Amino acid sequence: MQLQNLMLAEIESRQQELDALRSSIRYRLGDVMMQALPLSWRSLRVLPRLYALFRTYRRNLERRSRPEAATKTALTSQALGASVIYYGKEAAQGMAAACSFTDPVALVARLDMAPVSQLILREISEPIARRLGRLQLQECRIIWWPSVPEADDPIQQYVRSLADECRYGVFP
Amino acid sequence: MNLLYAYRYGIVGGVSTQLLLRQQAMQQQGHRCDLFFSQDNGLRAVLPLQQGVYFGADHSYRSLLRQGGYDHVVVIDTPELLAQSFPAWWQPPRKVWLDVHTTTANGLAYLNHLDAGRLAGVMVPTRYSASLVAKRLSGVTPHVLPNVLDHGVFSLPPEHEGEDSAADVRHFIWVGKLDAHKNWRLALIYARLLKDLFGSVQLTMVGGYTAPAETGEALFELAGTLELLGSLRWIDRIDNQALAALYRLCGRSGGAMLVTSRDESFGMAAAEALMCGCPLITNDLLVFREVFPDSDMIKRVDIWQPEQFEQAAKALLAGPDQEACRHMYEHLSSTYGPGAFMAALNAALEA
Repeated sequence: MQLQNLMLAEIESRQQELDALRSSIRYRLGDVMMQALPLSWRSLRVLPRLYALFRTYRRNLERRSRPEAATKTALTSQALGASVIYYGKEAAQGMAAACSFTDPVALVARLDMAPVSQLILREISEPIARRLGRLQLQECRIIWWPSVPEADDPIQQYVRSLADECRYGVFP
Repeated sequence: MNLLYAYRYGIVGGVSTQLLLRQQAMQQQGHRCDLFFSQDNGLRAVLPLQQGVYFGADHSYRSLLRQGGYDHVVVIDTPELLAQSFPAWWQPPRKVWLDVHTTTANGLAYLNHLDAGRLAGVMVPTRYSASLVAKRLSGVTPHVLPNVLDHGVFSLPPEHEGEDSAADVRHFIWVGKLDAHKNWRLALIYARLLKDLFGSVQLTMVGGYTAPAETGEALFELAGTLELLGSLRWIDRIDNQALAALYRLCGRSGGAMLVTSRDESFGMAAAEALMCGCPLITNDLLVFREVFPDSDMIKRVDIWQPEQFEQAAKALLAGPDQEACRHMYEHLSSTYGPGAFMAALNAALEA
């Protein structure tokens, strides 16, 4: 199984590289220019395609030079000072000491800002999951308490295996 | 000496960390060394109140150049900063150097369009990098300036540390950006092979702070397919003290660092792991043969040959030989200490 996966992953990554190369402007430009050879009146047929490539190039340049949208999230002083954080859409019942978040962007901003001693997760997504290893290294205790039955989702499985504590209750 | 290093990516690790070490080495010798990053990819957060480190856009860079009064400006793999580094005719003269750390074909492509005539010279961290640069810049002989290793932080564990702890789990570590060049997918695949071989293993993947969400999802997806989610820990960003502790844990547990990169310009992470007593199972890279001495701590394999990887894994001892670890630490800390770097820098600047 491992060898089969190895070969598949290898083929996939090489294929991705090849696809990226083929879709690059430089490759496509060379391709179009080659089609213009040998030079004759038929070579003019490549001009619209050259113009289209030029427009794509300009568009890419503009996109790259556009400043990224500011993702700063305003956090209250209570959120900044909290050491126990609760994340989920359901109300944090019996969690008076915890600071509650429902917005994943705000949660991520808070987690990156200052240490947390306990993180209670009712939901999970990739931006949160990728931070859990770092938080644990900073001695944060992670509690996984899914608000809905777990699906066959690798990110949920990852949190379950990494969490210091898992809680399962009666799901609505 | 008054020198400015300029680089695009202000990232925790990689070239950025190397620049911080070089800055420290120069300051210890009484020189002024400033660093400029045109992007903040997480570095600023770990450098509160750091003197002589600047982040900003083009106008900030030009302003720093005007006010800094630098004798030397060294630009690392950032053509847009290089173009702005040359003084105008009315400005005081300064020497502009190019330092090449990248080894990928894409990364090196900018050299093909570079007018090297205006440069005071080109610097590289290894002879291997020098050969890559010389192929693209005819008539240029790069100066080799070895990287500086932080041998204070990355050091061997005290003797007898952790001897009582039962090594029932072998810890492995992989460090790098989550990209095709570092080959992170292969690291996961080999972690599965290690799990089959040793039963209980833990793979810690360090890096990927700037990786897009799709890459993160792909990582979890592949780990799920390989039934590795229970043996995986992903740490997207880490400080050096914690990283050194992880390396020591790997070495102590009979594990190793996995290096699946297709290429490296030096191998900073690999060198740091070795200094902490953590063996390597590594792709047999030319540059590693230049940087590292022959040692039982380094198992060189063709990473595209799973049988070779398996043999190397089987050859891992319960813990690395103490004598080999000590020899490796002494060799690396002396060859790549601040003194060696300063000697090479002075030689290059005076050439």
